[in-house]
Amino acid sequence: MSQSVHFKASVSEVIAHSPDVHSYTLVSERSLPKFSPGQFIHLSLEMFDPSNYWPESRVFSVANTVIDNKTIKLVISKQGLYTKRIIEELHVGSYVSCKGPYGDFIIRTDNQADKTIVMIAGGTGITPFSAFMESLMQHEVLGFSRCFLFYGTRMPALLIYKKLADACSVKFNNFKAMYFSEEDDPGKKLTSEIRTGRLNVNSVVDSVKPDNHTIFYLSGPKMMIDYFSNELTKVYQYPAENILIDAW
Amino acid sequence: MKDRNTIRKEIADLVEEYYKTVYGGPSFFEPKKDTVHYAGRVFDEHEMKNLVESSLDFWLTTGRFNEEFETGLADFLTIDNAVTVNSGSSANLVAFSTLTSPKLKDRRIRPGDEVITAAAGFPTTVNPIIQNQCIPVFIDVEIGTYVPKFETIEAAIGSKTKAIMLAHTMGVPYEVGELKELCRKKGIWLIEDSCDALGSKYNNQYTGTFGDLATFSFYPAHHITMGEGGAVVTNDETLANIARSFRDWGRDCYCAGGENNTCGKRFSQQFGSLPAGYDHKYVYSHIGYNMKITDMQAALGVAQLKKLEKFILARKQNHAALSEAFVNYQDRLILHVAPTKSDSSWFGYVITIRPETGITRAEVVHKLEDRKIETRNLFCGNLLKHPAYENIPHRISGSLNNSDVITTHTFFIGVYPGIHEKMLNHIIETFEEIFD
Repeated sequence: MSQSVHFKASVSEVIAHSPDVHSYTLVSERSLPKFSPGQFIHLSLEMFDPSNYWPESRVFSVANTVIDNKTIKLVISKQGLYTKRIIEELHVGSYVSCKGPYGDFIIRTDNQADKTIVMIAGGTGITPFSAFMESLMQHEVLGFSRCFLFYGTRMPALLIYKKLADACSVKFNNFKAMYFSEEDDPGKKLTSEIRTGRLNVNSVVDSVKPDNHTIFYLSGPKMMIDYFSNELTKVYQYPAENILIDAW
Repeated sequence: MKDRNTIRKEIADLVEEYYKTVYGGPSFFEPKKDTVHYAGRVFDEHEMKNLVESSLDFWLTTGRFNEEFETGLADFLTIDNAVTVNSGSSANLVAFSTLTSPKLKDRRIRPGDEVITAAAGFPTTVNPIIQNQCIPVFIDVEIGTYVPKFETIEAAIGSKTKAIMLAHTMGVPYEVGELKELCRKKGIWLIEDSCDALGSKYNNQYTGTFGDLATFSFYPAHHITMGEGGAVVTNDETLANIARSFRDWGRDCYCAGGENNTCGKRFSQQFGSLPAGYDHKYVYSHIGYNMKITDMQAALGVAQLKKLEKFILARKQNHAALSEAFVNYQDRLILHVAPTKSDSSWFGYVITIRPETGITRAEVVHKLEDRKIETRNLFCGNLLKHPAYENIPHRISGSLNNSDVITTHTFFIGVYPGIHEKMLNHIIETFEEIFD
């Protein structure tokens, strides 16, 4: 966790990927500290009074590198009453209170040349990895032996960061992305590069052929994380310390 | 009825008026009657207004001013993490303890490991080494700079050396760039005790930004003050989190005071043999302390930080003026200098009376004190001569001859920003009286 701060931000862009999943671009009023890909912020719809307690908020992984120390991108899906309020009430020009960065779901990049990393993202769980991929694109060398992304959503339109993953695949020979969609979009055809169905552990293991130098990073719905954690440790007997999860 | 912002504004205006009435008049200085302190707080209405502002918040523990101070200090140093603590000595204890964390696995410092440090300096640079049951390896410093030479440090490294913990004594950087590289090659931790050296640079980079961890002090004698206060700084996120844990009772949770569930996992984790989902706020991953500051201290620090550049410049100017004046006494005095590549934000002006002259420190110091010029010894001199340290397990690398000279022949006078031209002239004239 780097120096976390409280900050007020305005919404500069909203993209509705579906009625329940929106991307937001926030611009902070103050300069922000360094964010590591994988870290998250708290977002509150109430204005924070610094001489009082922090209001009700929810946590969201930051989807970008925040390289300009100002701009934060979030992907928010409707999960409950508060996220419903966010989707209904946040528009371009709205203000929110935030604090962060927090969290240690950070993909290690130092001395990792012999490591294979496997990122498994379900739905909006892509955001820690989109920030990581954005940071990768700023480098000339991957820094890992191999890097895999398994990215699954309900429908192809929600593969919000597919372009970024494709760009990583083009830039780095040893970066491979695979996409999964549970259902087709009405009027759109699944492309051959998007497999139909849920993310599943067999596809991951068959593609990666993991060894002791393989680190798994899991981010997404609890059910998905429980499934992969359980299968990888109990069925495939991979060491638990090599499986890192972005859990709330 | 007035709203709170209106009342706050009225209070702030009154505080400003109070400052101007009580402290803000022209400063009179009468040589030999008024004291030239070796150090002291320098402030104006902004410190007082911030202090009152934070008391009106009544948040009391670390809050918005602490956040502003931590980010401001980190920005000034261009470092990622600044963790405030209640003193520079606490900063040293937290920084060293951080490196003993089990979270560092085989890199952690363990009891019995050796840590290189200087014999002549301030005791709380050394104390955390002893308190963590490690073995201090004492080295000598150079007379004139009062920091060890690179070769002396390198020669002290042995098979058990796990860390180097050294102070940039009196604001003088040791050859920290080269030392950092050596530590990197040998896998040795480096802690820079920069308590005396806020604003000093080595090779155009701030001291405190080279080591794995560094420490600062904000005691009133230091470059900026909070009354009591200090900070640990680092670019390493893991070390920063461990330092916060040691500061905050040793707890695993990093929520600030008055906050809950910042991680979102307060009731959903498994720690050791605790019941699943045990409240993260009360999970302890280190045997820690409570060394947090209050938001009132931080509020002072915020105002002081804004003056830091000016303070550093004043210290440099005062030191330069004294150096120029003392150059004629070099046959009897060893003047205060810094190694090449360094740019010191001086803590004071250190003088060693050449032992061969037969002049005693007591003679000089008494004459200065009689003329109301405050002096201080260079802290503890050779630490091993002090009662508390006589029987500690330790190793000595090389000789400690210079440390012994410092114990008997060295003292310092002030260069802090509160020393103005009239005071400088009084110091210079007094030295003329003594030595001409």
